[in-house]
Amino acid sequence: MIGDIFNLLLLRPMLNVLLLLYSLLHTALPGAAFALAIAALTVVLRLATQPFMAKQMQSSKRMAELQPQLKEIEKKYGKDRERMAQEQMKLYKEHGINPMAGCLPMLLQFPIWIALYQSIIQLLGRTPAQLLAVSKHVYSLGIFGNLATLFPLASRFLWLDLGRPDPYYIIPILVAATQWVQQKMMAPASPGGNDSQAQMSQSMLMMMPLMFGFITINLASGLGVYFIISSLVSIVLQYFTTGWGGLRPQRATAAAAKGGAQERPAPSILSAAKRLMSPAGRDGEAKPATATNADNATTQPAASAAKGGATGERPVEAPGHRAPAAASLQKGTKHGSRKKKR
Amino acid sequence: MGKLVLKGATALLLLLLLAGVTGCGAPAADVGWAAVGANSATIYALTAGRLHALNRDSGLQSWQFPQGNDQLAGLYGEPALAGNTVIFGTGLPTGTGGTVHAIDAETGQERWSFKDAKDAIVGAPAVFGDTVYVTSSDHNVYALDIENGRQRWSFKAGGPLWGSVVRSDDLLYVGSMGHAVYALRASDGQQVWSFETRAAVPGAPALSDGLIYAGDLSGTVYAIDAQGGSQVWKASVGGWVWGQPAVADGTLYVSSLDHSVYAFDAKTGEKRMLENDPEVGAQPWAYASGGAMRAGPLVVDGVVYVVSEDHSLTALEPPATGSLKPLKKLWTYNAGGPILTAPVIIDGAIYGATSNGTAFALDAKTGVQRWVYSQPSK
Repeated sequence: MIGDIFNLLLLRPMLNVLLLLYSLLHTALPGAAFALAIAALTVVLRLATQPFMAKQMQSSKRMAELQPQLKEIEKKYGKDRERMAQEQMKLYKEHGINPMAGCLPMLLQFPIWIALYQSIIQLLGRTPAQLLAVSKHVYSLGIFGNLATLFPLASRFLWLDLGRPDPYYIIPILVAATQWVQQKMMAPASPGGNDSQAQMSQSMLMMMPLMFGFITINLASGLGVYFIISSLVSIVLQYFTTGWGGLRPQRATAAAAKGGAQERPAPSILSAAKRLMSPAGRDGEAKPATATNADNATTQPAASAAKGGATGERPVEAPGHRAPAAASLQKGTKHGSRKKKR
Repeated sequence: MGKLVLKGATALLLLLLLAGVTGCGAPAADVGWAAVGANSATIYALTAGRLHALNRDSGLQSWQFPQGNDQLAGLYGEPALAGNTVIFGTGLPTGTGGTVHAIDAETGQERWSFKDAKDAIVGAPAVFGDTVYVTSSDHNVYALDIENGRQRWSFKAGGPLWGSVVRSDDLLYVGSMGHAVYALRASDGQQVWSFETRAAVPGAPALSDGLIYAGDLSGTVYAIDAQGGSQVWKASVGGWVWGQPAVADGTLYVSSLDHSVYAFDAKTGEKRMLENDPEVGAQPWAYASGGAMRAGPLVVDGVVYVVSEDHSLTALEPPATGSLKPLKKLWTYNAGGPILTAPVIIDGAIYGATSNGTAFALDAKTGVQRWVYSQPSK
């Protein structure tokens, strides 16, 4: 039942739009049509889901602002977990925050990315059983009337057969590399410390890209292309919102830290775009830090504060979306990084 | 610490979810569809990755290939019988090759195998004289010596080949996923003509009275002059055509993935009409099942047998040509699993197989089950 609804509302529209894009590109660029169709749809969906991500960032920001009080509660009631939870909930209520509000936008996006992922898998199917399965999802009316004539899809792209794993392992390496860059950008510039959560953040920073790279070794390379493009889009959006983040050289961040950086709330996408338009607004260019409420400032980890000093901003929640599961992990990693530096 | 554990658990859960969504990166096992072939004494059923030799009367297994727990991948086409040899094609689980197996029909021992195909052998092998013709997803038709499997010639088409070849005199005909039907010289594989279709032609064409009939994924059915390769007529059905059309008594029967089977005048392409309801009047001849009709219809002694993904095998008695009498359903058998390949009729019994891994025998007149074979769980 849930599967039928998912197919009707998400998988079929997604699959047919992907086919339509393929049909439009196929005449002009027959050798790259499917790869470009994947790229186009990934970019469009990534941008279309940006409002969800912005909400998530906003929610995270408000949660971050409450960190000092939460820390106090933790100190005060750390041994009485029930009481601690009650006090935390009370604090959230007082500030009108729903702690789950940050998760909801992310959860809403999961089905979209799963549908895109499934569409690519199904369309790249090479066996009769897979084609028979796809036949149940292909529209045959209106502008979709000729989609059946597109099969089998031309799956060659550069050295790849998009329906098969990359024999030279270049795609898995690129998947791991782009995801590492993306995750590194989301992490604070200098994690440091020996807190166990920081260690976990660091290990996740390595684990997730490696895991994706490993999985991609045996997957159709078309899915690898999707992972790479999704990561690249996230990298671009991440750059526009937080700059290079953890990718910045440690020396620069350390120097900035000495300069006594202050925290600044996470900027919105709009303000980030405005800064981008300004010649002096780019990441890495010195800019006076904006002081915020002292209480809030205490929540800022040293490394993030250092970054803030250099850029006038601090890392915000990642808009990263390679695959649904990975997005959640990024969020978890991020929180871990932030917390450890307090 | 509690939060750390929670985050660790969340990360683990998400990794598991990721692994689940991607299938851990391992390609799913593709055992293909189930199919049957038969001679006067034995049914050869390709089910669950193995070839089973079953007694025609009892359904008891004599042998299986391969023996033990080994399984073959990509068994889609019906096995062909040539004397004392059963021939069938497979694909590799990696999708990077295909093999033709020739098995001794008495003992189940392999006589020879042909492993030069670069992709799966999907269509049923076709045997004419001392040559077996196989098609491959690697775009090639291979002509093999039936005695030893040695390649005599090959022909490369413009797309993957999923259907088997049909032969008339010295010409072979094959449909291609590259949107074409080809005619080849049987002696050396030289192309005589090719006919461009609107979409992929995944099934075998049919041959009757100098015309080649082929259906494609756009739902178009073509009648092509067998000698010259020119179009005689074309018509449309409501969905993808995958199975081999059947011709009997001047009527062309075509099954479609839109769940229906249709009938046309084989010479003109006009739809056959019938009157199921006098108040509605004459309607185009069509029978709808509850699922996709992947395999083509089988017509024997004026009865049209159709199989469907909805697990049904149905016997239909069409009205005589020119008559508007309603289509008569003789019987329907529920096989308990999707039937995606054509059944076989021998001596009043009809044999088929389901994608669930079972093979069955029915009385062709009544549809009463004679036996069902289900591979014992190991």
